[in-house]
Amino acid sequence: MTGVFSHYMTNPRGVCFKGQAFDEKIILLLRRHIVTNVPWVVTTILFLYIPYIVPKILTAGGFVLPVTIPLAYQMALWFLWYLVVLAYAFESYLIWYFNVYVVTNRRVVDVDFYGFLSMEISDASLESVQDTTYNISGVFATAFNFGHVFIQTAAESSEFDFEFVPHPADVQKVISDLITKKMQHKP
Amino acid sequence: MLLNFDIFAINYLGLLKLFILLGLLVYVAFALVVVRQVFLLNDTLQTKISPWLKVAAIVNTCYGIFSLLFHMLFL
Repeated sequence: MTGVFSHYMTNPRGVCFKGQAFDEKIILLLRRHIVTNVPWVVTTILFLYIPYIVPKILTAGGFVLPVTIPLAYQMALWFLWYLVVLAYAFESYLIWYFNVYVVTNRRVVDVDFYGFLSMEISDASLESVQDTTYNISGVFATAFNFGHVFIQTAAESSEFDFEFVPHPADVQKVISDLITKKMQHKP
Repeated sequence: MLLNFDIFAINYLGLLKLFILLGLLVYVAFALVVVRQVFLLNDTLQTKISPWLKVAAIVNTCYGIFSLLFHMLFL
C-alpha cells in the first residue's frame, strides 16, 4: 500500500527524516494501522449530516425559533460549520500521517505528533536495544492484525512503544534480525 | 439598581454576523497554525506527498481568508 494512506512501508523510496545520516537506510516506515482512522472518519461523516438532521429533529419536536434567520445567514452558518468539520478532518489526518515509527539500519526512531505544535522525537541505536516484544489484543486488532511493539533499550528512558502498528510480529522480526546482523558485524 | 434588559431589543442579525465573522477569524488563525505545522513536520519527515500537503495547507488558508473577506463585505 503506497501513497497517502500507507501504514507499512518496507525500504520506502523518496522518504527521509531529520537527522538521517548519509549512509543510513530506512528499512521500515510505520504508522498506526489504517483501521485506527475509522473513529474520526465516522465522526466527520456524522458531522457533515448534522445541518440536515438537527433542523428536522427540532421541527419534528415542535421547536420553532422565535426569530427568522435570513437565508444568507443560514448559508453562512452552514459554511462555517463545514469549515470546522474540514479543519477537524484535516488535523486528524495530519496527526495520523506524521505519527511515524522508523526503523533504519542503525536505529529506531519514534516521531510523536500530538497536534497543534506539540511534537516529540526520540531515537535509540540498534546496539542499545535489549529486548523487543509485541502484543495483539482485542477483536479489531486480531481481525486486522495490528498491535503494539515494545522496544526495551539500555538507556534510562524506558522503552519505545510502536502503537497500533500493522503486522507487529513482522516488525519485531525485522528489528531482531537487524540487531543480530549488527552484533555479528561487531568487532 | 435593576436593569430592564431585553435581548430582542438588540439587533440579533448583527450578533449573528459577529458570531460568523469571529468563527471565520478563528478558522483563519487555525489554518495559519496548520501551515506552520505542515512545514515543520515536513522538515522532520519528507515523503513523496510532502509538497501536496504544503499546497493543501496553503490553499486551505487562502480559502479561509477569502471566506472571511467575502462574509465581511457581503453578509
